[in-house]
Amino acid sequence: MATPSDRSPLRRRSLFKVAGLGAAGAAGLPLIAACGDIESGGGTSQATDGFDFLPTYKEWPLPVEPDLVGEPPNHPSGFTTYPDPVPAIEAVPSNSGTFEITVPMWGEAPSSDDPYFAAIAEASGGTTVNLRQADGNTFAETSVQWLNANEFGDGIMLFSWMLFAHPNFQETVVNSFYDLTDIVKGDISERWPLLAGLPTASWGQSVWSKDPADPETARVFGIPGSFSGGPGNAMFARTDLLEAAGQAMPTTVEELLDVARAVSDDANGRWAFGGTDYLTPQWFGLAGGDGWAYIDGKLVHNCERPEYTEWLEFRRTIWDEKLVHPDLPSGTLDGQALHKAGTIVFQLDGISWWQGFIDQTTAEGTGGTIAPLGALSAKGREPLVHVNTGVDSWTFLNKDLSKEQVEEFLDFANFCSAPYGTTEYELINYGIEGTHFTYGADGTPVFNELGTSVVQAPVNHKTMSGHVQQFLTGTPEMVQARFEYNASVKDFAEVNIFEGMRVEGPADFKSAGQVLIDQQNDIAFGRADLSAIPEMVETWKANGGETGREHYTAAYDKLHG
Amino acid sequence: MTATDIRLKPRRKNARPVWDEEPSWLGKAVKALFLICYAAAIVLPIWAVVATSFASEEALTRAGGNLLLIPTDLSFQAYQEIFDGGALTKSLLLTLGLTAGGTALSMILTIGAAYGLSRPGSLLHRPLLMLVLFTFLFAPGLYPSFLVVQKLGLFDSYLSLVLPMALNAFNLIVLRSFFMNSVPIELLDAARMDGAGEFRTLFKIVLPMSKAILAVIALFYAVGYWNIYFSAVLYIPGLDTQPIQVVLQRMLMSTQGLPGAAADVSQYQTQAPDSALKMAVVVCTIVPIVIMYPFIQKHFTKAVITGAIKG
Amino acid sequence: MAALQTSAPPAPSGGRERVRIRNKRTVAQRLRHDWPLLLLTLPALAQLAVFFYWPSAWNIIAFMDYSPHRPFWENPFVGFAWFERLFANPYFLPALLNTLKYAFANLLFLFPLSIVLALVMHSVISTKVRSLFQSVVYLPYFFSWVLVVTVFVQVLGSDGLVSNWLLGFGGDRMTFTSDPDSFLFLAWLQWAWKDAGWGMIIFLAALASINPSLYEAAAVDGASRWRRMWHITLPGIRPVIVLLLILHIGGILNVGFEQYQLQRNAVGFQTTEVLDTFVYYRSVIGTDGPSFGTAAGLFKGVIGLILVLVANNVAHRLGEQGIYQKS
Repeated sequence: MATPSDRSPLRRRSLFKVAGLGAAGAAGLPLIAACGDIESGGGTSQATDGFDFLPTYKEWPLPVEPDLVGEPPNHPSGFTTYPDPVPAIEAVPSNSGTFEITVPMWGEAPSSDDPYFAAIAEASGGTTVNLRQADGNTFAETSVQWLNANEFGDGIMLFSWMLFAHPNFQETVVNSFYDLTDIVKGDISERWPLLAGLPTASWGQSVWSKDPADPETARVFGIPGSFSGGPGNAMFARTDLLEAAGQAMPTTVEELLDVARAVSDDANGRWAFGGTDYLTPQWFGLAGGDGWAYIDGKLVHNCERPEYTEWLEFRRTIWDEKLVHPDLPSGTLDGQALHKAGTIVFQLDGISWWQGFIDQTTAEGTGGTIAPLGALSAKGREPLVHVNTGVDSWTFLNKDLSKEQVEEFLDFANFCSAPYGTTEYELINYGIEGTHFTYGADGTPVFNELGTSVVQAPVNHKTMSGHVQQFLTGTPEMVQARFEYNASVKDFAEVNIFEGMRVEGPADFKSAGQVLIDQQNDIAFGRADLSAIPEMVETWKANGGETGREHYTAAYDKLHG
Repeated sequence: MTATDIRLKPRRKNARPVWDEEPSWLGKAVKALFLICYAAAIVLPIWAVVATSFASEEALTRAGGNLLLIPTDLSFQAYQEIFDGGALTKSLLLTLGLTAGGTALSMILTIGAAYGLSRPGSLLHRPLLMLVLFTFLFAPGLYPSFLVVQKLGLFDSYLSLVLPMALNAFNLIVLRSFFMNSVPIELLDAARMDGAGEFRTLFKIVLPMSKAILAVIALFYAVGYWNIYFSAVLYIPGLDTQPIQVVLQRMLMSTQGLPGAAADVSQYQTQAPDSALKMAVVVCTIVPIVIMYPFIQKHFTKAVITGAIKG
Repeated sequence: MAALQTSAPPAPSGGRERVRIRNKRTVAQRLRHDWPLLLLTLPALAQLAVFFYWPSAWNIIAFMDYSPHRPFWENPFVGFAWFERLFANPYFLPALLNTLKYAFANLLFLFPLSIVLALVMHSVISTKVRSLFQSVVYLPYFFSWVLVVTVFVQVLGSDGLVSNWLLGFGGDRMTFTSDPDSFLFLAWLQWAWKDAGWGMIIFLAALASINPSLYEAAAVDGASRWRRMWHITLPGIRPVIVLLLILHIGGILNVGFEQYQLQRNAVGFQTTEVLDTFVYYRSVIGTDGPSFGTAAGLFKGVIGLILVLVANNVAHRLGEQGIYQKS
């Protein structure tokens, strides 16, 4: 290709010269320089309480008290009636700034011309917050790149589970985000009463240390989202289909298997399950979070426990017996649509699918009823329920903003923190009456079509800053049902052994965990045998598992003395 | 004109040379069977795709599958949906734009450098040519390329789909060889005598003589841009409107409705049967190639032969 | 197609005359004369500088503990620590082996198929049949991998055309497109479908350049059809075969990304992990960091460089021209 005539300069010798020069350049430099060890990605552990620079907590009195009183955070209180909203903020600030905040979006992004956004800007005192909406499915991974390149607008919203996608989030935080400490320190109830009303734990969890080895460098870097608790996910059963098949709601894993066999019909395109990966470990008593449990005086990872094999056996059994949708391994099954269609009977989903199912089937007129399975367990063990207790998300501001801009954004965050029962909450969560919602017969706001597509988006201003307290809200029946469900599982809630600390595992540990997930799927989908487990675990230990154990044990010891 | 016409020229068309013995009927049959099977394996799936894209829900249900071989009725619903101005329309327009813009840019770069490097002995000719040729031997790697795109601020920008792949050194060298070997030196000398500068010579003499090979190179670039998938996955994960191949991939991977990821469905909520719509998108990605194909093919074989024979 | 140019005899006189002795002039004089050529070359060189040489230079971070949050020169050099980590990673070796496996499988199975196709086509007399057939078989070369995988899943997938026939006859669904054990065969079918026709065109062009009088002379001497193929046809296209082999071997680690990434979920990562997907999933969107991925990529680049130089050397020893000539 390269030698059109024999006078071409591309002869071997000169080419070798070019190639050799490049290689020498690449290899020579590092040899000359002093060689050190790789330090990055070693993991961090960050205390999240006991700070003296957080905003002073000052209770923000609720305008209306909830009528169902639970035990927050794992058993939140709820409202079964819709109160007449009252304004939360008396002195509306006078601002005029514009911010662009990067947020994840699942589904179609609403048009930014919608009156909803203008109304919020006006009500908040003149601050326009434009949403830069990016695909939620790839948001966690992509956010790594945006942050590396400092291309995330004036701020970015990250859910707590997204931090795991970052190789070294602590380093990213302290290098990319605005240090809020000096602005929010002490008594802020004058200017931002709602932010001062956020639980101190929320602010504590928004702290990262500039130097992870030195606790004195801890600073506040994020505006915390709501502090919530209780089960975040559930396995939802199509109760109508179970009834039609003459099956009762299963209460143990063994019963569930029987029911699944009874309702599945591979040839006619009905299967019991879609995805079963992320909730099912709790049925076998396996730990949530990063998978560590404290057993007999040391930290043991899920994959090292006998229950792990039981769990994979379960996943393999339902696959072998064709109780799982055959296209699940493709990784892109639309479980919700299949659940609505009754093609899959049990859908593993976020707890909000309960309401989502009702809303969508009502709108589409397809019908059907669902309910979450309670706390299941196998072999008569005590059930375990994973709960997400902590701050759901943070809004981080770009370090390049000016102090005035940050203060203005905090005005806006203060506005977004208004809880249930306030006019601000109604505007942010339901939109404009007549345009996005109307009041139903029982006084509860009901979305119209525009409201569903614009306001009901999973992420917008309503998640930009936490509420002073998180409640169960929605239709009275749903609130009642969720309240009772939470009450029924709260006694089985997993205790977080790292309470009061945020532990970020070493990069090796994270990467070994990813590999483990891939291998779990291989077993669950019949591509590898159960007998591969011991080898998998050995590989995991050698390639990050043991490093992880050391790191987490050190953190555990620091916490528990 | 096909690649082999040249070889056929000395003898009569469709005639066996006198020295060649007639093959046995068995040999003929085996050969025919082989060719027919091979062609069928390529044509039938494409046919099924086209047939399915025009199928109605009813016909698909009756067939009990995702793909039809024999269309029973004609429905244009899938195509109506693609062109209704929604996400799919945007994606197609984006891909068309990228293809047109990218190909134009690539051709400018390639023609310029091919001509600029076509005079051995000109200033810096050798070192510059080496810079081009070295790209055949080494690849900078995925991560560093990604890093550079990020450093340039092109991450999540459509430019990142065009600029990094704007120049193909292989095409450059092919075109350079053509300029050097197939444009008669006498013409160039005559032009110089007339006082024509390099630019004038390039536009008035060299390019008009190189139409065939230019068409082929343009086709290669265009196909490259039209088929962009990996760059989009790598460089623009955050943008709403994705190239058609990415949309197709998301559609393919989901069993129900469109793009895979669960909550994404509303964006592509559809009325036409899913498999018809999927297949209609497949057809849309094939059609531009098929349309260009015969025009280019004419030049294409000519260029291959020029390359092969004239060297 | 450019590949063919080297294998053919050197260009007739034209190319040679064009070389003029300009060295006696000063640089300033030459610049005055050649500036249009340099100007025309400049945009392409700028593109190469930014998107080839700059990233090549960034490979330096494979030897650093690189963090995007530090000024570049504050990143400490760590020697070959990342490479040590790379070789200790239990998924690197399988990815490398997979890469080699698919590369060699492609070489071993696709080349003969293309050559056989070309030979069969070459022996077809009717021009109509030939041009029709040619147009059909290399069309898929221009299709994207997304499209090829889509078509394969639709036809051979568990809910595809063939599966539904099988179900109709009381059989079971095909698991072909999601079975890791048969992935190599699936990949081969996909190569055959997509690329064999293209290979055929190249070999056909090479066949066309064989002088027909050689055949005639051999036939007159009483050489049979098979002997003619063995002694005239195959030696005639040998330079092209060698050249393409070298090109393939140089790019052997570039097995492509899309075909494997697209089928990763269906078949599982163990089977489809090649070096490029390894870098993407561990570094670009994974948590192993920039230096790790760069080290893996650099390893691949250097091995590729060595392979192409070695392959070319071997070709020279075998008396072939290779991709560049001896000086």
